[in-house]
Order: sequence, then structure tokens, then C-alpha cells
Amino acid sequence: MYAAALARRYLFARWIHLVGILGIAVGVLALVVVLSVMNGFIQETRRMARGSLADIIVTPRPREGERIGPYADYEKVLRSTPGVAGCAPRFLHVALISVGRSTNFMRTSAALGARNAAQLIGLDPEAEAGVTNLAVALSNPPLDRTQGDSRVADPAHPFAPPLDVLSPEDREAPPRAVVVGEQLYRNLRLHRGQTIDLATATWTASGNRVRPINRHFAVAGTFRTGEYEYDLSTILLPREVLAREFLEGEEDFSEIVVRLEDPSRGAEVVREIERRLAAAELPGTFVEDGLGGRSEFLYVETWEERKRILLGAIDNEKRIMAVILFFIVIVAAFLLFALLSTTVKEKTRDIGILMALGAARGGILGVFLALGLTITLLGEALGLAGGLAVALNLPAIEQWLKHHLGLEIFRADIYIFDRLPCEVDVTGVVLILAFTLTAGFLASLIPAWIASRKHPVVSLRYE
Amino acid sequence: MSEPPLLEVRDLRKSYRVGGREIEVLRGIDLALARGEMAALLGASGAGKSTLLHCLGLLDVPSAGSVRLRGVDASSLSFAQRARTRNREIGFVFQFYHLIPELDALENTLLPRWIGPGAGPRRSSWEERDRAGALLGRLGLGDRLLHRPAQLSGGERQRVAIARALFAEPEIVLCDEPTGNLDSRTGSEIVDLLLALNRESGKTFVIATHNPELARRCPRRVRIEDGKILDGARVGGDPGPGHAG
Repeated sequence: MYAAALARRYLFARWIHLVGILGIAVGVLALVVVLSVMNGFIQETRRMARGSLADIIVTPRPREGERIGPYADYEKVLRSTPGVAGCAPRFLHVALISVGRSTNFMRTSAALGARNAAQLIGLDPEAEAGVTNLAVALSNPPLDRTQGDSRVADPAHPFAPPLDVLSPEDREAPPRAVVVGEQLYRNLRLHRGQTIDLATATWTASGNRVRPINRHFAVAGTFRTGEYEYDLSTILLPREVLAREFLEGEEDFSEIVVRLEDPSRGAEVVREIERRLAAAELPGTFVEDGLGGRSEFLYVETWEERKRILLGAIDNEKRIMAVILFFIVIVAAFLLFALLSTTVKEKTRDIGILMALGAARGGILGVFLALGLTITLLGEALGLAGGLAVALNLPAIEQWLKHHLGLEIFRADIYIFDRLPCEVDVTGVVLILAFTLTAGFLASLIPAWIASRKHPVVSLRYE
Repeated sequence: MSEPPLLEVRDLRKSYRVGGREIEVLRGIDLALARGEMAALLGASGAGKSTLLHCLGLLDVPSAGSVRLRGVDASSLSFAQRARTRNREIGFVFQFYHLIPELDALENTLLPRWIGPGAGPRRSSWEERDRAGALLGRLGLGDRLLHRPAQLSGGERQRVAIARALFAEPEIVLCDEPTGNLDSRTGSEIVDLLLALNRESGKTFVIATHNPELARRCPRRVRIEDGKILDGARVGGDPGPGHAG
């Protein structure tokens, strides 16, 4: 076809066509970059949630007067379930933190956005190995070194007393140690070896009253998962310490994290675990309807179900951003439409000439369609190249903007991560390119069709 | 009369609506052209010469009457069929050259072949490019093959347009004021060229013109006035393909 050859000549004959190329390039670039960031958010959230939660979380829900435990009974059932690679017990509790002699911690906590409240997680470091990424979180280098290296001395034994930093009198009878999330550590301006008070409440032995408990601990060091909220609100301590000191040893765990051999079989294994725990008639695993349906008392869920609101929110945001940004492409398509319409007008006499030489309507349509598609494809190529260049170098670009222009694009206290995640999604990029090509095609089709419907003689007379 | 004339027009009428008013440009033209004829179409501006040429070249559809090419009624053809017929059988030369500004002389000459079925710029063989080059060379443009229209003079442009009209070897060449935009010396050269081409190729030429020299030198003169033929129609008569030198 001569259409492509003529379209190529026309493309370079009018420099204004460059505007169309740039318009499409800007749309594609914005889409590639923003959707890469949103995709990065999702992927990073998944990685972190899976890292700290493992694949499946089992949370027995005891009925009134029932107590769950011992853990060993549950462990036996879980380890015999096919598909389970490992499991670890955890004890979750909530505490208020008091640092130093300050008595107004309850008041300041509200002013500071409840940062004096912490999620206590009691765990067994040995059991966590191979199930969660605790070891990684303990050895991640600190993000901010202004408070020195705050990591624990030995990641294999995180709750060992920090003898290297304790005062001589504390060294004689070291207090029990806790590991604090790095963001919380920075927020409260803690230092290793410092003593903090954790205050909480529990039931009285008779079980009908709430009673306050208060213990003090030494800060052994910090961990960093990279999930900002988690690192801002979590304190880790040995499971048996939490059970004994705060809950008087009545129960020894509150949930179990389970690692699977094949994470994609999560839903299947969840059902199998439910069935087996119910069959073993362990406390808190009572299945209400007795027909194998899900019980309201037993909660076995995958990490994705646990994090579904967050994951759903980010995914929803990604969709909204995609819709908004696709409008850029649509605007670029309108630009292309306007450009091609003026080109068709300007080339009216050429259209008459081509018709006089025997061009059929399809041929004329082809010339301007080829022109529009060439502009679209060049814009896509440019936008893709630029978008990938930005997306792949985003952390460096963000740092540069921060240092040289004082523009802080990414704020860790607003988002959930301590750095800007970015991951190019190939399927997404293909969809962007396909959508843009479709928009470019439709925008070109109308002017091209108008060109093809022109009357040869009227076109030849056009001045 | 054993075979039908190459191009035959009977009671051709063409009217336009301009501002709600019907303007009749052609009011019943009868004309027959034989193979190899060279006819000058004479008449004042607005007499309907261009409209007649457009109808003869199947570019425009008559309001009434028939245009027959080799006995086939053009009104029975679809737009696409008329386009194909134009591509194969008819060459156009316009007063304002009407070259594609983005293509060089060689490409403008090759354009009818590009447009033609089964061909394209990629497939225009070296043989065809040589042939186009040779044709342009014969028209005195041997050293201008890669020049764009903007780099050519008026006479040169018109010669490229003539080369383009001839390249696909059509049976009929329709020229609309081919010298109208040229100075008298260049115009004369173009007239010589057209006469020589008619003599050499035996193709049928219809030339609408105001140029008295061109009119005088054409073997046949058809005078058109007020949408009707005044003299020279010779419908159904003996074609007589002879020429005056």
C-alpha cells in the first residue's frame, strides 16, 4: 500500500504532528509510572504481610469460660496436615508504653496520635525461623542512622539482655528484654538498654474483674519490616514472658502462624485445617453447624484475607488512578483527532489528486489512518521508554527532588512503607499500550473517513 | 462504424446547486473521440470546459446523459470501479500541476502505479523506477529526478505532471489548461511536447485551453459555449486519426 509511504511523508511535512506524538507520550508515561508505583505498593504490601504473617493465621475463639491451649495439641494437628511446612505460636496483647518518669503518658498518647500504645507480640524466635521473616526484620539495616545502629546484638537470640549497653547495676540482675519496631523507637527517642514500662490490664483470677498490670523491660534493640505502621506500633517479646507476666500463664498463645509448602493452595489448606482442628475437638475450634461449615468460633484465614481491606483499598486506588490517567490518553486522542482533521483539511487538494489518479476511498482512508496510527505508535514508544526510565529509577529521582528542590514526594508517615516502592507490571503496560492504540485508532478513524468521503472535483478545486 | 468510439458522450448534462439556485453548466453535450485523436476544447471561462473534462475523466457524475468508455456506460460503474478505470485508462494534467509536494519528481511519476492494484512503493521494481526515470529524462528532467515540486520551476512541474499522466500508459490524457499558468515560451515548449507525445504514443488527448497557439496546432477543435458544443462535435462521424504537423 502507498498509504504507509505517504503517511510517513505527511508526518514529517507538518511539525505540529510532533505535538500529537508528545501528547500520547505524556499519557503513556504518566500511566506507566503511576501504575508501576501502585503496583509496587501492592506487591510490597503482599511481600511484607506475608513475611510477618506467614501464609495462614489460625486464631481459636474460645466460648465463654473456655481457655485455649496448650499449644502443643494444636501444633500436632497442624503439622500432620498435608501442605503445612511449619508453624509458630504467637501471643498478641496491647499495652501502653511509659518512658522515664513521665506520668502523663495517657494524655500525651492522644496528642501524639496514640503512639504510646503498642501491639505486644509474644513469639518464639526458634519457632519463627522458616515460618516468618523475623530474622530478616531483625537484621535489616536501620533506615535512619541518626540514633546509631539500634539493631539487636544477636538476631538469633533477640531477647538476650543487652549487656553491652546496660548500666552496671542492671547488669547484675538484667531486666527482661523487648525488641521495639524501628519507627516506634525513633518516635519515642529510645536507646538500647533503656528501661521502659509496659502497662496493660487482665482479668482477675475469678474472671469477673479487670485488673491493671505494669512491668518494666529493657530495650534490646529494634527490628524493621519496612511496613511503616507495623514498625511504629509493635513491640516483640518472648511468648512465655508475655503469658506469665501479663496473663498469669492461663493461656500460652492466641494465634498460630502457618507456612505452607505451596502458598497458592492457601484456601484449600485453610479448609483442611478447619476440619482437622474441629475433629480434634480442641478448645476454640468448635464448629457450630457440625456439617463442616465455617464456624464463627474458629478463625483460620490466609494472610490475604487478614489484609483484605488494605489490599482492597490499594487495588481500588490503583483502579481509580488508572481511570483518571486514562483521561490523559483520551485527551491526547482528542488532540490527535483535531490534528488529523486540520491535516485532512490542508491536504484536501492532495486527496483530489490521489482520487484523480485512481485512489479508491479505502486508499484515502488508509493514508490518514496510517498517519494517525504512526503518530500513536511513536507516542507510545516515546512514552513507554520515558515511563520505564522513570519507573526503574524512581527512588533516585525521588531522592534528587528531595535534595535539590526540597520536594518531598513520598512521606512514610502517610503511606505504609518507609520508602517508595515501584514495580513495573508487564500485563498493565500491555493493557496501557493496547488501550492507547485503540484510542488513537478511533481518533484517526473519523478524520480519515471524512477524507475518504470527499468529492474528487470539489477537493481538486480546494485552495 | 464497426467499433464504438473510444470515448463517447451523449446528451451530457450537469448542474450544480449554488445557494439554493440550480446552475446548469452542461446543457446536452454530444461528443465522440476516437483512439489517437488530439482535440482542443475551446471556450470562455465558465463555459463548462473543466466540468466536461471531469465528466470525461469519470471524476464527476453527470446529472443526465451518458459517458461511454469503449462502449461501457460509466454511470453503471461503482466509485471503486471508476477509480480503477481512472487509474488504468485516464491520465490527468492540471493547470496548477497538482503534484504531491512531499514526493519527489520520480515518486510523483510513480504514484499512479503505487495506487494501482497489487503495487506499492516497496514493490515498485527497479525496472519501473528506471522506466519512470527514462520518461522524465525524455521530458528533459533527467537531472531533476529527486527534486521536490517546490524545487522545480513551473514548466518543470508541468512536465512532471505530464510524465505522471503518461506513466501508467492510459488510453486517454485529459489536460485542463496545461499552459494556463506558464509564460508563453514555456507554454510553447509544453505544447510541442504534448503534440509530440500524441504523435509518438498514439494516445488520445483532450486539452481544454485558452492558448491560441495550442488551439491552432491541434488537429481538432471543439468549441463549447454556454454548456453546449458550437462546432466540432462530429458525433458518430468518421474519426479520422490524422494530424497536422
